Amino acid sequence: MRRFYAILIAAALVYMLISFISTVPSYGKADLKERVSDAFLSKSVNAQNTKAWMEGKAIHRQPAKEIYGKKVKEEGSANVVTSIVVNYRSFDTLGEVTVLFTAALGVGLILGGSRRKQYGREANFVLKTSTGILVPLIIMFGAYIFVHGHLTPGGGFPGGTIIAMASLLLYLSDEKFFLSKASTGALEGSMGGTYVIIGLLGLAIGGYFLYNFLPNGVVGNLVSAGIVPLVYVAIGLKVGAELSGLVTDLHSEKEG
Amino acid sequence: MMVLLIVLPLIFAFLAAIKKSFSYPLLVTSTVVNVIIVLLLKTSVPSVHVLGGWKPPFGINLVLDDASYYAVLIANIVFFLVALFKETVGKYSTVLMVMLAAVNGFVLTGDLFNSFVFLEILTATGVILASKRENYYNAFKYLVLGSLAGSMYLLATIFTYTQVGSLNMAHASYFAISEKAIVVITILYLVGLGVEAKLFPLNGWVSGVYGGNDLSPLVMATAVSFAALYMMGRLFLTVFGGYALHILYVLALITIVAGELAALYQKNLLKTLAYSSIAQAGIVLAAISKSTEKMVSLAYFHLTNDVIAKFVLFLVATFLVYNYKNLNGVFKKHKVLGTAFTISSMSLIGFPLFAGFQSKLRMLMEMFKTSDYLFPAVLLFATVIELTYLVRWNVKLWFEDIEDESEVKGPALRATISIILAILLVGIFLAPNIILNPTTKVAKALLDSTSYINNVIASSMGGM
Repeated sequence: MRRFYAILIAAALVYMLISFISTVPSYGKADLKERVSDAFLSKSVNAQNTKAWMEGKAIHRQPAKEIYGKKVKEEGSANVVTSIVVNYRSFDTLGEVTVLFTAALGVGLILGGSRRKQYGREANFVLKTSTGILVPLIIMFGAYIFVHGHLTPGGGFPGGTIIAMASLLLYLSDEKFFLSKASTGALEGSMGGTYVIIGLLGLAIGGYFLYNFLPNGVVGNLVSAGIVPLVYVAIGLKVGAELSGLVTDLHSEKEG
Repeated sequence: MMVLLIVLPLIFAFLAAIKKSFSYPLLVTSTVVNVIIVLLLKTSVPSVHVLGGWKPPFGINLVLDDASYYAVLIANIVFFLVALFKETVGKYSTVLMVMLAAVNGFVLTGDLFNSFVFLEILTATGVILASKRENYYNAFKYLVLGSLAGSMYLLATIFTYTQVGSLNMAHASYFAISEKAIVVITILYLVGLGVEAKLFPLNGWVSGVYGGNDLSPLVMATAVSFAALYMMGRLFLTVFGGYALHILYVLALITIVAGELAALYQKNLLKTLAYSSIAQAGIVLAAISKSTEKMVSLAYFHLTNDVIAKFVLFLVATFLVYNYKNLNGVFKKHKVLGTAFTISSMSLIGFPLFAGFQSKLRMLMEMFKTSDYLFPAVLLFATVIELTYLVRWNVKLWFEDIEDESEVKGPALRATISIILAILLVGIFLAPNIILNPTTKVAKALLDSTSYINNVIASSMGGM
């Protein structure tokens, strides 16, 4: 009986999806002028008039190919995904950062170990030696990814994950290695707090939460795009500390 | 200003991650500060906060109107009351702070994807709270259903974007979505929100989560439930005005009957209350689906009464269940708690002299006026069953012979808060307008999508 219901529900879902697909314009035929992403691509949000835009009278600009190396007044990230994720819709990213924070919090509360779990196996010398060489390189690569988040693909989340991989490698190669919860928690909390404080500074200076109060600079320079690199550095360190804490939780056990 | 409601609990939660021992004082501080901010915000209704200065529909905006103001008011007061119980909160202070931020964000946001993000945080924190007292099986069940709901909600949001071209609620409300698409979108949103709003058949998690420990029912049955039912009104009345309401009506009626019958056969006190909470959510949803100003107003009036009564009932019941092995005649030892419990259960049934009477009677009269007899019939049937099981529990807890001789010292704070709220229920019966006036405004704000859209547009034309 349960299977019958499952099939029924799945069939209903498939029917709905198929009936919806017929309302979607076919590939390449969608009118981008009607989408907000068009304004994001050409960095022309401030030029739009909301009322006119909603009535279909969007100001359409060709996404400029020669943006690189120029000063753009509205938004200064060379990476268009970053410009949406950390500037136009930065509040969502604050939410996603919180989702990860909550998940790590839950793992900590449920597993809650305080001591390194002993597996009783020694890592072989190839892994041990190469860890010493690889860990600094991995951390450097992770830092590169989040520092250049506004210029190249990547950003805070992948950068932080790469850094956490370094601590995972240390856990795998050394039975005694143990990061204290206090240190990862402190970094995690202070970096999360930094993101919110950057937002609050925007509220104090510009009147809007997460307002970009720094100059945008020249598109493509390392120091450009206002608060975006600062936010990405905070996210990168926070995610790195958070996932390292998660790895720690998974490799620890309760006393006694 | 309203963004502080979301951001301050969040920054306090991050601070609590730095120093674990500060987390409880930080929780109390953040809830007190939030209640103060909410009270200060009363003067700035309606207003729109544009995040990052990116005007809607391009950026994200928060909307504070009569409806969302009332919802954040209730939610923040509930969190303040919960935060007073130090032992109950235990090591879950940080989780509660994140949850407070998520509830406020979910209610205030004017953006569909943003509301999905906050729904995700709500589910994640809810699962953590549910896992208290090693209630892992039920927490996992909730996690599975919650993630299913989240993915449906996200899918619906994506579909809306392909049709409307933005994620803004005001724009989605303004835009004429094609008939074929809106059916799919609203059904997906119904599934996505139905899990949190305890709609049949998506409410299998409720009894396990509410009945599994002493913290999650206090928050989830009140604040989170209120936020979810507010969002139901916002999406189905303001944004997608009028669609899928028939489906909602039918499902809500089934929810009422199924919830009451399950409560009748339940032997566990907390689970009985959990099923009753499902049935009450069904009543509220059925009233919302009528989408007239009177009925929507009464829906939120009834919801307010239910939230107050359920808070008292769970406050008393969790204390009893986790301190006594056998509950027979336990109120002979705790007379104040017993009185509060009885008053709240009478209000839930809808006896005269208590708040529930006002909302139920007005709903019946309103429905008879529009000559719809199905909902009144279900409502009366539900009331009879409610009467049966709540009176049975009251008799058991008051009059049966004491079997568990041990006596736990009466908790003064718990008794005070529960009796004050119980007296408030009587007060609402005497002067129903203290709740009815704000809920009428809520109904007006939810049904008037034109002024909702105009508020948001005005905010992007320079006027804050």
